[in-house]
Amino acid sequence: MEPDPAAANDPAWAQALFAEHRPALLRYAHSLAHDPEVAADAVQETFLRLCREERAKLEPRIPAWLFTVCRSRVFDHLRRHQRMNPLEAPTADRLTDDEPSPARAAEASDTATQVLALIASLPPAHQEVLRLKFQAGLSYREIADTTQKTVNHVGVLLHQALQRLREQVRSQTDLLPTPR
Amino acid sequence: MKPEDQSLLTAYAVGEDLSAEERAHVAQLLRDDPEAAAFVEDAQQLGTLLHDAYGQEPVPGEEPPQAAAAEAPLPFMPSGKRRPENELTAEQRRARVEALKAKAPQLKRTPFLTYQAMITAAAACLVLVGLYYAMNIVQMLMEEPDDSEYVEVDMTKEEDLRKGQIAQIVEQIEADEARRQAEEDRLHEELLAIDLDQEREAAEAAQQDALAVQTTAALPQIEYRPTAPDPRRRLGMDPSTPLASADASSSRPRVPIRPLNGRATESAASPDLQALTSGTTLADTGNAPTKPTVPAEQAARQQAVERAPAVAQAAGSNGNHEVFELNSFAVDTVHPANARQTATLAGARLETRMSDVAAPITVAPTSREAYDSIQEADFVSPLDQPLSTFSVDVDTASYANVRRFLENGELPPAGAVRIEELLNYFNYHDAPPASRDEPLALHTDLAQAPWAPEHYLMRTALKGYEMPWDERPPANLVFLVDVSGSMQSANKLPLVKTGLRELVRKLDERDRVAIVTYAGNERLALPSTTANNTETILHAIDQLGAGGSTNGAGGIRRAYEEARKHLDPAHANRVILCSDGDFNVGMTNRSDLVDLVEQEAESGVYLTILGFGMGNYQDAMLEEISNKGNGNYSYIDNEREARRILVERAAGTLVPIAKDVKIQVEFNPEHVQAYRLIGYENRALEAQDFNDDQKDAGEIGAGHQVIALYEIVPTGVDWQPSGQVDDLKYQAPREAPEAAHSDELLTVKLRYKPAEPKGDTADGFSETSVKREFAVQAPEQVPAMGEASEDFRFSAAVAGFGLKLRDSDTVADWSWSRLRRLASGATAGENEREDFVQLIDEASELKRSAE
Repeated sequence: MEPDPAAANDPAWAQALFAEHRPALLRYAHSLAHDPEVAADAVQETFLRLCREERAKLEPRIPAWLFTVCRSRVFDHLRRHQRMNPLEAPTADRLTDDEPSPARAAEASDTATQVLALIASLPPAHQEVLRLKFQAGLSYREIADTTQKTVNHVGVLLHQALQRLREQVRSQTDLLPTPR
Repeated sequence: MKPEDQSLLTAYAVGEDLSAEERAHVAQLLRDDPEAAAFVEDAQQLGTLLHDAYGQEPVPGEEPPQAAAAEAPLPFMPSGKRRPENELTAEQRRARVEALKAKAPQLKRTPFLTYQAMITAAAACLVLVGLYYAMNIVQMLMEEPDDSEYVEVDMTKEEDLRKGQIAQIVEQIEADEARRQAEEDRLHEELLAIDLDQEREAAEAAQQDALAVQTTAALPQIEYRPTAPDPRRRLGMDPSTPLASADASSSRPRVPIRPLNGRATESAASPDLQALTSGTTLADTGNAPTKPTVPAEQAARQQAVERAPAVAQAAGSNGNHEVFELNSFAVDTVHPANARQTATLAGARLETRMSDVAAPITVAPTSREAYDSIQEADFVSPLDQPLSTFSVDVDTASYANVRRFLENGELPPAGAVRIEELLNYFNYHDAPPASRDEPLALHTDLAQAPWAPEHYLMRTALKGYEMPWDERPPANLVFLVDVSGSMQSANKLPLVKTGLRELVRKLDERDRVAIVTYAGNERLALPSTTANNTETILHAIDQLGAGGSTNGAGGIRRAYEEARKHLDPAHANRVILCSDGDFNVGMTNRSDLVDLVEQEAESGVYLTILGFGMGNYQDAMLEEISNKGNGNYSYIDNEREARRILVERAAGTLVPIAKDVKIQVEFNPEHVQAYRLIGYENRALEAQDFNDDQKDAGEIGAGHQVIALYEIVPTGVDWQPSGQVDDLKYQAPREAPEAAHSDELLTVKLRYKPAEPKGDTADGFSETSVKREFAVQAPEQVPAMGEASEDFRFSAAVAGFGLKLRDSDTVADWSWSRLRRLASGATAGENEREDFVQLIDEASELKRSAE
């Protein structure tokens, strides 16, 4: 495959995508890496790769592509530095230790802080799909591609995540009206 | 409501595209079940909550959070339900002003002084950052390894991106102006009563700071090395000095960049970047203000104040870098990837010095991996060397290892690419021998070399007898498991355990299993036990835990001891070493270890090595000791691979069917002008070794296959030997002798020692070898590669892939896309081959970006 200069270098295109997706990618990468530097590197690398890709090939699936590449860059980095902890491993709970606890969240006044703290108490796999859905705005299909799960599994995970979160939000905050 | 209905309703509520059927179902649910409607509404409210919360989550490394993502239209909710945007930002602004107040309580009383102080603080931070980079650079220059050269990277793409980023930053500044102005007004009301002239003066300095800081903050990877190492100049500390002239005079200075993953490369700096850095006119970007307006000044000043701590933090966060060691990176031929890697290591090491090293695991990845160099075989004339002799190799480790590199986004060092192991990794469909009496079947095939159609490619396939699992001899296995600290990670010990469990389940009461572990000390974790005691064995496997350092040799001795206790020549006696090869304590001398396993192999206990993990992976050592131990060597990097080696190919891994298998090819100079063997570089034997039964060679296990490819330059084709010597004075001119007038192109000779289970040798193999000969007729016409068998086409693609990974000149003109086409047309629908095609893509992309 020869490089296609026409397709590869379109600064305006990449720039627009950069502006649009960078914050969400950075947050996503950070949520995986727990290290702002790794996150920034991963995002940077993702966009460098974007610049090398054929635009036409990517166009229909850009967000999913960006998140997929970003995710694999983060994991590559973690793997290279032997800091990889499988998402489902028991250690995963430890990863969220430094996040505000649900109890503390209830004390916090800010809605976003409360909600984010409650999200942080969910299992990492749940957190990941929630983030990709509600921060990145990906579809089930795109989330499945990004996280290498099946669409069905994503649907189930997201449903479970929302169920659990709903209970937490109800029991610890007054952010949701009580159901009729 | 049924759970699957809930799941569907959730999907509907969050705006997922549903199929017509699903939509109909949802509609019905909503119509029939009031709970369903409530559920959807509830989910949507929760979704809004989530969306808003995520939108306000801080962007790592940035302050304040950018609301861009949050402001994207909600796909699943009417916009009215969302919180108004400006309320959000107003809140944030207020928070920031509060924070400012908190940071500078004296602001109210002496605003001007405070501003000065803040700007000075920002500038001081910048000086620190600048000094830090400067020190880095100086050290990097001092410590740069002698043999590494700076790699000149084609920076056009990166430059474009940087241009894009810069333009974007400028845009961001502009876009933020309005908001910032409002904020500034508030600042004025609440905090400031500054004389405008003074403010302008301060703001001019801040403007430069802000631009410099912004550049640094948004492009933290770029280290700037001015020709005169004066960081102050870069940082705009001396506004009277025309910065542009200082930087512009060095038209395109070499700038070391620490991008992406910590590699140091060097390239020319973008002129735009310099211009921006030094705060001059941004004519190139076109949309930057040439003369800052007052709001812009204010914005800039504000940014300087806000950004400064972030920059300081960024500099501080470099303390997380881990220790890299350069001790055993043994690659002779420095191709760009290696050079880059070396440079990286140097750079990374520097950073460690600068920081407080407290990383939990201090051994970093590729740096300690050791690979021997590979000298690619050149074409030789059969008049000079009529014979090509090599030992077979059934190992597959190199392929899995190369795959690991590529999947990690790195090019493997050339020494890690052993083409024979790449070839032998895959399953082919060459017919196995019909009975055990003739353990090996040899097949040859000719076609045009895909990268040089005027050359022939000969595929030689040796296929071992496929022993049904029930026919196999009983196994006497000792698992020697490395449980040192380095084995801790998920892709090592846990994978070992998974693999062993699977294998144990395949064994039965005829087989014996023992487990020896080694770390600081070796330990017999499970005395040899018949394999029907599954519970006991599985329990022992479960108990394996990692800790301590490694004394590989002590463990190996103990394992052989345990194996010898139940040694039976008719059985498959084998030590299975599971390690990352990091023998870092005790008898670490490679040749001592090699001697040991060689000795033990003579006593009848063979050695299988399963290499795990990465980071301190000692490929060369593992390969050598497995060869000497009459063993085989595989690299296991995931469960699929573990299953492949220990379950699907268990018979081949455990049961050898032919020992010391050697191949010798004699080429007929009448038809062959020159030839080369692709791969098997470290398996080459002297011609006389072929008939020497004392010379050790590779073993072939049940069902194993060995693929070798020769590239042949037929006579009549233009060919020049690479290093030409003068014609000999005392010899007849070189031409094919009388005997060569034959229709034969070449003869393949095969030698091996067959199994003799009832014999009196320690390992159940005959002491004398048998020889088989196969003549290959010179073809009238050789078919194009496209007409060759699927297996042949695929083998050719694999060999070409290996050559291209090693940057071999012989395939330089053969493009990656043609390679890909060849491979993808011969996958036979097999997953492993499909994955290989993916690997070609990864590799071509990495090569392209490395060039």
